[in-house]
Amino acid sequence: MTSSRASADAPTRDRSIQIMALIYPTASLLFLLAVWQGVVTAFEVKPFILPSPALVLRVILDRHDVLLHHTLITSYETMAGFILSVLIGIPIAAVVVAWRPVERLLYPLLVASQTVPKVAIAPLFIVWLGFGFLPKIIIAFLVAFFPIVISTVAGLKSTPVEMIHLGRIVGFSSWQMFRKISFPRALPEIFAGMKVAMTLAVVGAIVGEFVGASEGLGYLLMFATAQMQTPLVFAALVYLVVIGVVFFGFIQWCERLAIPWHVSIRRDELRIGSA
Amino acid sequence: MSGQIAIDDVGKVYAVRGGTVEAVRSLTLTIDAGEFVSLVGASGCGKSTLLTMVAGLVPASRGQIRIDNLAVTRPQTDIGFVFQDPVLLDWRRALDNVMLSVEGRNLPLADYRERGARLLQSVGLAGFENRYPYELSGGMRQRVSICRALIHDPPVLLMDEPFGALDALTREQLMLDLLRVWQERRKTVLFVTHSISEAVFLSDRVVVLTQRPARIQETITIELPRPRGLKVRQSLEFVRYTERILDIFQAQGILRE
Repeated sequence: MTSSRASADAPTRDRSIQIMALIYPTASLLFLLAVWQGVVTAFEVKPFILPSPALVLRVILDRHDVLLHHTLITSYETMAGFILSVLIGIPIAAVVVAWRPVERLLYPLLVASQTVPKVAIAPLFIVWLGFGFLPKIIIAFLVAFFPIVISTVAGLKSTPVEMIHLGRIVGFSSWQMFRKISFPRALPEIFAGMKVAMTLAVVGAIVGEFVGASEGLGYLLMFATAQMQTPLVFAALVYLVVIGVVFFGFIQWCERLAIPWHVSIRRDELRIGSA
Repeated sequence: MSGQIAIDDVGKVYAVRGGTVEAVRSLTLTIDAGEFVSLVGASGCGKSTLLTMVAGLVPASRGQIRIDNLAVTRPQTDIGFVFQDPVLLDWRRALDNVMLSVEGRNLPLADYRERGARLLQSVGLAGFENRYPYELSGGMRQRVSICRALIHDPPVLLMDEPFGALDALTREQLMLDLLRVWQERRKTVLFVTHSISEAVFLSDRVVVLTQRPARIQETITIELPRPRGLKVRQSLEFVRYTERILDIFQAQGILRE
């Protein structure tokens, strides 16, 4: 009885939770913008020091074609770097976990490579690979790759002993053990790593564009700053935030589809309703 | 295939940080095909270690274990193993968890799906085949794991305190379910528990182990008539058996009054 009633109430409660989840951040954002606008107007701050939100909005609307063009470039570089880091990072992590010698060979090298600041070696990639998309994709890949490897290794290594025993008793080969037990069990950790990697990939692409580019939001930021077009800088930053949020949201959406069974994803009423 | 288990002078020494731990010492025990034998002993006495050695998951340091006269040298895939925790895969629905046993052993999936559904039904899980583990209660999850251990109709069933984490009522129901299944298709069951009454209620023989390293303290043959109902636990014979085991524990110093 209780369970059927709980599930009947659930959609309504669910919707109200979703609405509240939107209201709170919107309210705090609007408040912040209002204070910002108030300060700029009251103290007559010069637009090249700090443009008002209204001015930034006007730039966003007036120059949306330029902004959109550079946004798409940066999005492309970010996405390509991120996808590469997933495609290469997960297999490397799997190999590292499967063969101890590989772990000893590769892991110290991986860790050491991460202590080198990417900003410092970014110019090298420009020298080697030119001013095109490739060096930006490589830099985005390099920064995104590490959290994916680390989190996948951590996930794959934390398969409980009982699950390994279970796999042995049902007669799984090591490949079946990976595919049917360790890998799906590691998905929550892998997704956590991907979320970090996604945000880092944006930073990587921007750094690449800072160093040498003729397109992309990183280029636009440098250009607009040099020209003292501060409102345009802010407009570019807004687009940058949108890229980050949209891509992050995309990973979260994938996560919800891939691991609906995980504690971090499933909804409360499912746990209460079916006991 | 009959399912006779012969444990012959088996010992186990673990290497741990800063030395070794002897878990099992020269233990010899033969379990006949179709017999239900319980191992009871204090927690940490090495009874679970013995079970994992019989399953071939952990190698014995000395001695030999044979199942149907074949030496156990690698994980035994034709047995059923029930862990203390259900160890269900969270991303699989109940029936798909049961089917895990079928996939690894390369048995025909389609035939066994129906059998799996029937098994779930027989332990009171009809209608729960497509539920995820997180949607099931603790008792239901353990039932799914028992179905997983039974679906390929193994001659030998090894159970490692399978009811230890359950509430009293659920435990009684599962004990009855287990006895029914065992009665229908005689399997050799080696059942590890720390509950004296559980051991007496279920078993043909109860093997009382010493504290670590595990050796056999005493073997008690339970001659209660079968099939057994829960009421048998009020009978004088039942109480005598449990008292006898209790006395052994007290003599060991595990229990003090």
